[in-house]
Amino acid sequence: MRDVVVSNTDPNLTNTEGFNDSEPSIAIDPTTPDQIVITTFADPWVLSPPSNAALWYSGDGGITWTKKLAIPPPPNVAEALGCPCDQTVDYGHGGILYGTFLTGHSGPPSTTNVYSASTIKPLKPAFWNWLAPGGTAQRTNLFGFNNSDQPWVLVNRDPTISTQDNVYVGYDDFLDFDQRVSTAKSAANPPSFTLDNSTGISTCCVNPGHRLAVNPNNGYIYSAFQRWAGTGSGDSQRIDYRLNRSTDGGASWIVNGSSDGMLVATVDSTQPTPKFGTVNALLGGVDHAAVDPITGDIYYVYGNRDSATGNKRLSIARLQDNGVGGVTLVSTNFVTGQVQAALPSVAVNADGNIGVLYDTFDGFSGGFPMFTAHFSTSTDHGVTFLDSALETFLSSSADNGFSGQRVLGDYQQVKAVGSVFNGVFCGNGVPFGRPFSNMDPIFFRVTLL
Amino acid sequence: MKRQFSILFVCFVVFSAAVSQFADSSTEAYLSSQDASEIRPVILYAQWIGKNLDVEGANFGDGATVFVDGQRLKTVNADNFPSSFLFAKKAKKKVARNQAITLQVQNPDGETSDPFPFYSGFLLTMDDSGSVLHLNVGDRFLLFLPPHGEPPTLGWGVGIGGLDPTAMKRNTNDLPIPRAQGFFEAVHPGQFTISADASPLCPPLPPEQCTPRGANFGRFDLVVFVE
Repeated sequence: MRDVVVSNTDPNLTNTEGFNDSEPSIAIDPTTPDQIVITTFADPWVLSPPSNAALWYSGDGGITWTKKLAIPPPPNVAEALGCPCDQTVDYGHGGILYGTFLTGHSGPPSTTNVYSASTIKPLKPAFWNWLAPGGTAQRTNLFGFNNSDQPWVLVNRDPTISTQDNVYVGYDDFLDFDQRVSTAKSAANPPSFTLDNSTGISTCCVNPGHRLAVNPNNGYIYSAFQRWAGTGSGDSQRIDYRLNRSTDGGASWIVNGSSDGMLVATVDSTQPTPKFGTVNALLGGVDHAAVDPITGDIYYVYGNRDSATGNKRLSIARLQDNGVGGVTLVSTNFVTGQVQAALPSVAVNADGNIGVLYDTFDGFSGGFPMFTAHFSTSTDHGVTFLDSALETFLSSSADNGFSGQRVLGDYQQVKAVGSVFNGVFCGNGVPFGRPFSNMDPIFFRVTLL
Repeated sequence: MKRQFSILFVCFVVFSAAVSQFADSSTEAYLSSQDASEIRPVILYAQWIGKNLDVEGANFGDGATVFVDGQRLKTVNADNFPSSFLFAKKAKKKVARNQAITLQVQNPDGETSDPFPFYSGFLLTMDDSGSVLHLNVGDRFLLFLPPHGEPPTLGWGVGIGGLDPTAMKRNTNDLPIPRAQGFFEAVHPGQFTISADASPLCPPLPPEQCTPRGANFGRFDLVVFVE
């Protein structure tokens, strides 16, 4: 486990990095797994004079890291200034890294859009490519113009042409109130997004928490999202957690005969407020999914307020392809014990073992909320979990009385390459040697024995 | 030191530019009641960058001029976004220190912006985000994050943290810039952080702009050591 600010090729960065490096995303090169890229809310884009957005790079499996202002802004997109306003990254084959970035501002009127780029040399700005016909970057969101949110990129093999990668970007469309997946068939460098289809409608009151999952064996892609279903018990909301699927490379989305997806669970979940741990509004939902690369089973983790205790626990649903074109819910179990949990991310490794990254709120110390980042693993298809605490830390800020406060961000990520889990969460750097309290990207790598 | 300046400068440009995005759209509201032939310049935000003054807004004509308390300053339009950014070089040399001042922009056709309250003392703005600041006991600064209009369309939640948040004292009374987040004064040695999150405000924005979106609409982070 490493604080990427402290374990850095710039030894002075530990004294100078003052950005709240929240909402981390991670990409691991499947052909060279020691090559890893992380993005966080660090240095944004500057167009005049030109300055790039930051990324964190490791070429030695996460032991040492380099921060580089390497990601150039999308060409001729004024709304990119001051962003990325959300971002995720993922590697395809051939060493191509793909990144998708939210640009824009709240308005009036809102002008949030998604742009995507790719590179074979993440640290070299000149190698980042945007598809920019006529000199202006092409939007990834073919719908939801000026009203997009939370882009989430994953790369997967094409369902028909197994040697071909496709790039999928899921996002929220607040113009048409649905979730969509924009697809670049034949993952070129840069990607060209030509398909953009809805995976289900959204409703008010909670963020759709739109996340993607891929089956690397058959090229299927899954869209996980949540929908408000009413007021829940206590301070919670009633949430429908839903799943949709494309078996044809993003051209159509349908599961169990419904283009609106299937219901995985309807439970209570406390989101977006009261803030998690009093400092983090859950504006990215409480859901994530991953596919077992061996069996094709889908594991869907979601926030589930325990009706008996009121605790904000996490559950996991196991779903299976039923062999006749549909998906069937097999089982649900709790991932966590009686804790207050959020920000789940799930991955399944090549051995079929499940890893779930999440945070718990553990109370207060010295007036500051205390969190623990956990990594829980299951070797029995999600029936039982063995929990490991990664870091217990204090928030760098207390409750600021503002409903939109997000010290940790909307998400964090764990991904599996082969049998190895690689993840990143937002933790305090002090336990790693930082001279001041600051939220940093904390990388971890887990191999189950 | 050089690195720190670099960070500050980069951040300055980031937010300067970011505000320009707001300029074209948000000023529609300002201008809706005006005669199309009388497009007035609008100031949305301003920052000191060293001795230079950066003024951000909309409808700045080529050759527009910045005035401070009625005093004309030598002004240039920004190359990339001339209608949204004006720079008054070495402006701080011509302004009395540590006092409330008023900015205005006048276009060549004589159209003049509304007065914009500002401050000539130790002022921290968006360009300072992400930096580490070293202060002595007794030092104080004003924090001013962009409101994006009058009334503000962007709200800032400010959190104080770090190893010793009592090392500073915050005062929100009698601010020279009414929309500023307050004066922060170093009262004893220690380390604290200031973090702020921005969210759209409804009203004045329509309700749909305040749906639970995950976009990061603005963030300010600062680490302060009091020595």
